[in-house]
Amino acid sequence: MANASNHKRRLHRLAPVIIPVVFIVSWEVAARFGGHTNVLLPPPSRVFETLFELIRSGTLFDHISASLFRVAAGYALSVIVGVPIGLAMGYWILAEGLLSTTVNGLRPIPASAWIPLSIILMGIGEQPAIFLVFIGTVWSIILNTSHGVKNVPKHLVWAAQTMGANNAAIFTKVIFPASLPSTFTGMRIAVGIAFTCVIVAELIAVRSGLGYLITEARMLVRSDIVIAGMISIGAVGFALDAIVRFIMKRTLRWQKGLMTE
Amino acid sequence: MTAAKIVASNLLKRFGEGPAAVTALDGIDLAVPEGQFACILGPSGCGKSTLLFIMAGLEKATSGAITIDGRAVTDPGRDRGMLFQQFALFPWRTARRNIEFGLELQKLDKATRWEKTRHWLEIMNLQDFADMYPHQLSGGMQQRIAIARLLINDPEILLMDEPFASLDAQTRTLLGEELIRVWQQTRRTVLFVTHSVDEAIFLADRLLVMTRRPGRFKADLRIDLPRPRDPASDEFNAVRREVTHLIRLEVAIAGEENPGA
Repeated sequence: MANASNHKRRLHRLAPVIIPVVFIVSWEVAARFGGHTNVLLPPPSRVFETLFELIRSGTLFDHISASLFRVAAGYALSVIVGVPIGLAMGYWILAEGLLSTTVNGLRPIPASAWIPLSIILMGIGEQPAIFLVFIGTVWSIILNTSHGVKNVPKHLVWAAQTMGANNAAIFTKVIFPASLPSTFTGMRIAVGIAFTCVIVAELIAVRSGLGYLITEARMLVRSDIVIAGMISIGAVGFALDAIVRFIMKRTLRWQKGLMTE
Repeated sequence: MTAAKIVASNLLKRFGEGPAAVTALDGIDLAVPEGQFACILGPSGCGKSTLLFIMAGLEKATSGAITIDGRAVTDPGRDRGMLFQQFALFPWRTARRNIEFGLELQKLDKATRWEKTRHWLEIMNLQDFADMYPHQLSGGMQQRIAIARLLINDPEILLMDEPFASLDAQTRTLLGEELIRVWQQTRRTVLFVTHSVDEAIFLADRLLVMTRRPGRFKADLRIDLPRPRDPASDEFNAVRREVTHLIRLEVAIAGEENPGA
């Protein structure tokens, strides 16, 4: 009995690594004995070798910092523009009326559909990449912020009013902090979108960054670099999300239940 | 008796328009002298909370007027503090920072705020919970914070909208006793809305019984039981019988008027 449950426990502990291990081993075997395919699909051992080489030479670091710079610039622009617009749209009916057609009209256009126009207007380089990150993320920040403002519990506003708060105090001391969890949700979603946008932009509109690394390698038929680049993209994306979650957790300690997912 | 602190004259409140309009309050006349603890007792939906909200300036009367010291109420103000059934604490502020909210609005300096807040934390027995967030505390604790946050502002009139309705019976009694203790020291004018007969008899100098919608006053009783009151005493029981009888009559009449309900 005890033995059986021990086995079960060990199996449960191993469960998360079973599929990756089986996958990598079969890939290694298939690539080594698959004849001509190993140029197009190199074994994982080659991919990791290439990955280490990219790290050692500093090439990977240069591409990562180029991508992250664009993410940071476009994202910052998005927050600086999106949060005030969202606050205004949530608070003033007139602002909502003035801006809703524009926001709802532009929002359904995917960021990638902006690429041709941004290259025509801005050429190849940093500008279209940063613009793409901005245009991809700003909507979720605007909408979540205005949603947060509109959903501030009424009784919090009432309580402040009966303690003598004027409109300015109600906005800065009640509505703004009460809307923050929703704003942060928008900002968290936006980080993921920003990273997707920068990779897409780098496939086409700029000559550096992780996205450029993998398209350039495709043209040279260097599948090992392509896959090593994909792994790096996944790792950077994961790290970005972890950082955002950490920051949110620190800032919104008061928000019960928000951090459980 | 001195001139009344709060006067409501021929107050009418309708929600909505046309045939769908609901009359919440119909011809309310009321005078509350300074320093009186008045309870408004009535069934759910009788408009007793609406009356309180109009007095607070959070809701506008359809016709009629409310005056405080002879001045008409138009907006919310610090002179009329309010306690809400949902506590209405700011979840992003600790107990201490919730309590000092009103002092912040008055732009008092940090040292004064700290000192006053410390005083009220002590009175409400919250010293050990000063740095906790509302969601970390029980309902009783939360309402204690709300009471301290209200009283630190020293409003001339205290409007209380079923503040203990969501608490368990024991906490309710305890908070009622504490409220009376503080009130006996300050002798502010209190309007306390409840649907609990016992709570009303325990707290009030004066009991106003309200009818079902449209709300009118059906009875206006003085309660002269000595304080502290004992809900198990014969005198308390006698008053309870009288009030319960009055309310039963009211329910019977309301039943005849709306046979479908």
